[in-house]
Amino acid sequence: MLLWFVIIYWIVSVGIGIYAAKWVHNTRDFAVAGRRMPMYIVTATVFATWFGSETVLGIPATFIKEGFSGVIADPFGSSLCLILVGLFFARPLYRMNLITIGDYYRKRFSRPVEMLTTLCIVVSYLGWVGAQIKALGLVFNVVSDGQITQPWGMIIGASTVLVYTMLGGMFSVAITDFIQMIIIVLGMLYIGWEVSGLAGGVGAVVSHAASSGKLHILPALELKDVLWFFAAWITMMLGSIPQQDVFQRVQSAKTEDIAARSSILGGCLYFCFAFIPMFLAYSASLIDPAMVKANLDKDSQLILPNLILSPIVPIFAQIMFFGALLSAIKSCASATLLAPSVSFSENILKPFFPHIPDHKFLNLMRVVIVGFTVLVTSFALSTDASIYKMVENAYKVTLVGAFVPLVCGLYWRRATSLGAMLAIIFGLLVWIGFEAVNPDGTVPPQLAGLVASFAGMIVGSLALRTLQREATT
Amino acid sequence: MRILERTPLASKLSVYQRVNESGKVVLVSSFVPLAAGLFWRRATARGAHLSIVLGLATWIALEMAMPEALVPPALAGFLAAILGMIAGSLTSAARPKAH
Repeated sequence: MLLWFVIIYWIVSVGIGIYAAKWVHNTRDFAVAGRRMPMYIVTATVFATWFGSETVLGIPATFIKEGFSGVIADPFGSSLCLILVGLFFARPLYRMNLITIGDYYRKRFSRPVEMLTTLCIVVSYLGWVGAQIKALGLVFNVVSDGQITQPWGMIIGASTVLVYTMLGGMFSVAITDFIQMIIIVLGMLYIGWEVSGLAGGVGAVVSHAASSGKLHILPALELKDVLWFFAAWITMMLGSIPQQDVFQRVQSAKTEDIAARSSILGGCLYFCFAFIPMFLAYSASLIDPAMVKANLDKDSQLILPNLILSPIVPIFAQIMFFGALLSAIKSCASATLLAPSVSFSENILKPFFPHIPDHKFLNLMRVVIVGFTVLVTSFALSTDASIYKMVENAYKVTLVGAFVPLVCGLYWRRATSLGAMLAIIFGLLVWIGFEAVNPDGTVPPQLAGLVASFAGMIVGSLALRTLQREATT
Repeated sequence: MRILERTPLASKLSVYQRVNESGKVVLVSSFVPLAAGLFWRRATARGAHLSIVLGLATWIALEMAMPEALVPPALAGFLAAILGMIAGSLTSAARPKAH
């Protein structure tokens, strides 16, 4: 019965997403929903994007182990991030009338800044999207009672989300996010009410948590603890401000005021609702201490799903919970597939096709989304730990690929574009080669890649010069 | 030297950690140019270049050399990015066009 409800809900919500694609006529519609979204839609899509698998499964798992001070980054830092965006960043950025955050860096600074920040931003989405796809696989596996294996769950989940995101872009994502927010809010409130009854009331749970020291926010007054606490907090609070998904939602608003206000409101809503999964998971330690203890040692992310699936929870509450969980993951997955793909197309690819007509560029964006989804899904599926680790270490790509061209382009007058291309190719090839053949050798792979990248830059720049000189003489 | 296992994004991370780790690369590279560009009139392209290079280099170097040090690598990278923005902007000629 649970499975049938999930299937029907999934088909209906994907169908609505596909229907919304009819409003997409150009890249502006696709990337920022034509800048005509009303306040309730923008608020919903801000909220639903951030309320993802980490909010429902990740935050409670960390909270049970470490209390409030362990979850300072999310929800405390992340909701403050949205509020800061609304207070300080939304208005000036909205006025600039851009498609991506990379456009801002190009307009305000330079092309290298645009390229490098875009690369960093795109890379930062890999782990995030991968986590959502894995979570989809897990949830489909759980609600089908094992009939859908986790890999198939990931493939079904990723491909259905891909279909409407690719067709309708920000329009489809915003409309489906609105429906999903309603399901999340209703589902979380209902299940919170149901579980608090089982655990003996909200007061009992909170006072138990307080007496076991889980509600202390500030860390111990040791310099190291304070610094690490502070770093975790600003990583989420400030590090998420230049993210394309936030930027896209701000830009899709109808007016400047809506852009600012819905970001603040979305942040406040996120903050309030992020406490419900924490409350649920902590209630589990009063309702079923043995189950919590067993899961704490293995994977504390499974405490909440296990609580909901236990026979004491009525089937209607289970449907509401998994409906909300799937909505949360689905909106987060669609946002995190769309944002890096649009950034990559607009700020990395487009400069290579300066005269591309808009409808062709729209198709290019769609191709990039498909490519990105296939890439991330295949990495999420891969059981080969070394490949997975390499993807998670993807930020090294910037070191071996982008660092040398950037620095030489800025500070070495004789650097040429052939040199830059050779630097990227040499750097990546040597890095991947070392990583595959001898990852633990005396020379760390990324260092070898960096040296090769420098070599490529020098050879490419000087060789071209010599060739040119020969050609002219 | 097992660099892979000691790097911040080494696998076996929970969903929570994985999402938080990915914010670091953006914090040390993109936040300072964004904020300075909007709120500091004297910020220049040169400042942005220096900010990104110093931020990323400091963060990656510390993450490889001493990931568990007193000062977290991402925090050091963030401070380096601020310094880079200030140093680069103040040493460049006045911006040609007013913002």
